[in-house]
Amino acid sequence: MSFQSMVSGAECGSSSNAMRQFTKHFNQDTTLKHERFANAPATQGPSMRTAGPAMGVNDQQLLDEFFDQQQKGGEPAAFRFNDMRQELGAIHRGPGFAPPGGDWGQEFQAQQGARIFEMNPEEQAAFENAFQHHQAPPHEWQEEFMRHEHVAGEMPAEFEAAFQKNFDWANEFALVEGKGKGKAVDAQHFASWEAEFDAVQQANATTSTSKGVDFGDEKEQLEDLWSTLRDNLTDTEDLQNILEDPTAWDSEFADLGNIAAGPVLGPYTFEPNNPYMSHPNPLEEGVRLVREGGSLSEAALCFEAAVQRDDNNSQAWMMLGNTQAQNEKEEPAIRALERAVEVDASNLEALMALAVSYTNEGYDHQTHLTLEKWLGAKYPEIIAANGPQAPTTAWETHERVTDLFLQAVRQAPDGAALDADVQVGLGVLFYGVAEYDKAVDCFEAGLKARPNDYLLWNRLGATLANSGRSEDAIEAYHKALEIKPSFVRARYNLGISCINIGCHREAVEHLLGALSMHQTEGQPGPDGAVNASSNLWETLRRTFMMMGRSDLAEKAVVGADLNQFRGEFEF
Amino acid sequence: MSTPLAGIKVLEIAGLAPAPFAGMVLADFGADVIRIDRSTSSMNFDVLARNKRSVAINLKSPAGIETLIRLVEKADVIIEPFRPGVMERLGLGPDVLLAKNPRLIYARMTGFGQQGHYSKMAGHDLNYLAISGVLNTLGRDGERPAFPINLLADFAGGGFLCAFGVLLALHERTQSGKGQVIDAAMIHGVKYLGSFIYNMHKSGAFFREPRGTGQLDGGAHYYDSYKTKDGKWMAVGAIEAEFYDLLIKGLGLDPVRDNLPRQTDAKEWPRMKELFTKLFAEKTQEEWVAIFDLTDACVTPVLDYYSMPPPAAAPSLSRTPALPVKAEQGPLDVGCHTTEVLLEAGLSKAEIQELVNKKAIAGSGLEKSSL
Repeated sequence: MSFQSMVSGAECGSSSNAMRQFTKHFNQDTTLKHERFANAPATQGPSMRTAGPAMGVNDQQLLDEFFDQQQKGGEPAAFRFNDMRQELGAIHRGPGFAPPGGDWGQEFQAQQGARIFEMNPEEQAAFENAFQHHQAPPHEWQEEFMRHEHVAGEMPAEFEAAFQKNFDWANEFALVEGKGKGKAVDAQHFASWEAEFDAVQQANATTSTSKGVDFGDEKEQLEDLWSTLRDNLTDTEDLQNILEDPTAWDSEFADLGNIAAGPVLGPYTFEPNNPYMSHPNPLEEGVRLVREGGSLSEAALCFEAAVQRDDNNSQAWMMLGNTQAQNEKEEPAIRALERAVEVDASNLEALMALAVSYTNEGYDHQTHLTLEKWLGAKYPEIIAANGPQAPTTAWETHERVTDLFLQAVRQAPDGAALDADVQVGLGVLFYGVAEYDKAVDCFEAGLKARPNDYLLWNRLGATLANSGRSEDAIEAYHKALEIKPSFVRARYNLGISCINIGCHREAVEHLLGALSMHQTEGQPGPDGAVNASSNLWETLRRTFMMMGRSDLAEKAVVGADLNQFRGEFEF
Repeated sequence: MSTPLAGIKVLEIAGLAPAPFAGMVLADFGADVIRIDRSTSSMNFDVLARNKRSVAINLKSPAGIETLIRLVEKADVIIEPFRPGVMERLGLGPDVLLAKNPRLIYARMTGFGQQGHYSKMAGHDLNYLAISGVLNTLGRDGERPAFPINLLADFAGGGFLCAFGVLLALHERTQSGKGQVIDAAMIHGVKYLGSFIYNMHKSGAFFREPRGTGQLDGGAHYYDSYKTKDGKWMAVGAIEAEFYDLLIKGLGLDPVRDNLPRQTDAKEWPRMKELFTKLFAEKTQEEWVAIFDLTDACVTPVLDYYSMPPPAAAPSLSRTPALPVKAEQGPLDVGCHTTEVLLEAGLSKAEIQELVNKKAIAGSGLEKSSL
């Protein structure tokens, strides 16, 4: 089997492009072999090596026979497998096989001086008889061997010859029922082995700093590792990384002390080559880009430049976070928004955006706590009236925060303008417990107050789509995109709804359209490795697979040149 | 045709090499093996995934953990490949899962075991082989230890013994009705596999020190491989005297005429090796096969593993054989059975969508829009 053939048929009817990538360079290294297999007829086996010039006819026949037998599952004739099987059968019976060693020892002693390897038939029979009937308990035979041990280095040739003579133990011992076991040695030895370790522990302590042992910011490292693998599976080193670190997934869980506390993503990661670093006013430029419907990726670079100049600018961090979220890059969004809130705990917009991002990532508890902070910043009197709360479970915080938001709705004086943000918060809370109809009501109520809020149109759409109403969602996404054509997230969502209703081709075009918006000045492919949108690429890849286009799926890796899809898709 | 493990449900938390091999062995013999993949990547390079299904779960999500527990409740076996303590940290330790399902067989596949000096340390097959002590028995005289790729620890002493442990526990469960925890450590597995070497060494036969000077470890000329004229190899394993005689004859030697030493005269082995090396280089593999084939000289060609069809499951059972290995077997896409498996486990479609929305699971046909 070649890797080529391995990837051409797949479970689930679609082939993993990872494997194809993997195969590609594998094949490069083994071109000859690959070609041989690639040219082999579909019915492999007998003819599979006809192209091999070095293979002799007889050799060929051997292989043919061998494969033939293997495939029929029949009784192979050529290589004495029958005998081997008998031997193995005896070995499988295990217990009958180790102890007789002791008998040889005893037998040997009993016949001291006799030249066992020259036994006549009668002696031979007696010898074998002894084998079969004289079963010493394990400790006995072991002792026996131990006594021999001092001469072990120069064991008489006769002993080995005797052993040899009876090496064909399969037949000798087939009749012998298993008795005795040698396990005592193993257990004893292991005990002392452990003790030995304790003794050398100190010596080893300083050297045991292997890669997997260090659990420091493993999350980041792992994400890096995995995205590197995912993205750049172009040389064998990457493959080696993954093969050599089977514990990668495991160390990802190393600091999972507080799973409910939510993500520990750490600080924001900046794009290394940012042309806006030298811009006189990157913040203003970013705001302009967003306002005028420019590229969100360009805007993100502006805001990255801005916060690198002023790390304590909560607004700039918030804009960075919002931009990344709209650009379908949730993780950098969360990192930026967390920083925005860290700098200014009453940054309402950042708090709300952060709550939404947490929800998207499934961090329920963090969502509730963040919404509570939002409410506390905007409606401090409600929090004051309800008193402080001890930290509890996600379910309890949901109950409590929902109640607080409902109080905020109720306390609005009659005739006063509805606080659309309270509706958004409530919508997010209902969404989080799968009360999608209520969430939809909330977002729709919010839209009455803010009909041009494209974020809200998208939230409405996503809620509809995630509750099985993709057709309705598409309408909402179109609204969002009418208002903000550069809104990558809405386009991505539109693609997903197309997938959900079975329009894969349209889905691909939307996803590629969204990805094309990730391109920045002077970059050949969608933007850099640091904050690429894995969502977009993964979804694109899955869609290609659903279309049965593993050839395209193989190309859909982060940073790929989108032009290679242009002939076939319009975007 | 029924398979020996039909009806046995196995959850295999995705890993590399040993745990997937354990899962594959069980799957080959008919167990329903579900690989639990990480939901954060759509790729898994595992080449030991045949006859398995894949469910992608986010084990960093509480809802993902709950989902896995739902699966555990209906499973017979779980195989986990993590270092000690990781499953516990995830809330998936043996206490938790056996409380949910007392019949669960909980197999822990590690290199260094659940306890001991090295238990928390990273390592690979070679390290396990080294710590088992077996590595020190392998190799040529005067050379560094040699290792058979990663066959011994990862697969023989690792995955395969793990699967064996699972079968033992399944068998025992028919009596007790109870599951149990299996600590399948490769260092112990390999050491156990080496019982023959260890015990024979104690007896003084076969294995001497230094390594590579005994009968079976490459010291003897009649138990070694030899290069042929055409650059291929022949394997020679003529231990018994009568087989050795046939070997000598096949090589065109005459004990008297050529003044050959006794077979077991270890002092003469190096000289005999040189002689054998010279002789084998005089004919092609094909020619040697013609001479030795179906004789009892214990001489066989060394065949090309990579040009063979995929290895079939073994051993072969008469009434309930393993599933056949398809010539072309694609990789198992991450999460391509998520929906199917969760529906089987009793989750509703709405529950599944909710889990997707919470990023607790992922898989084919399970897309999620972003708010």
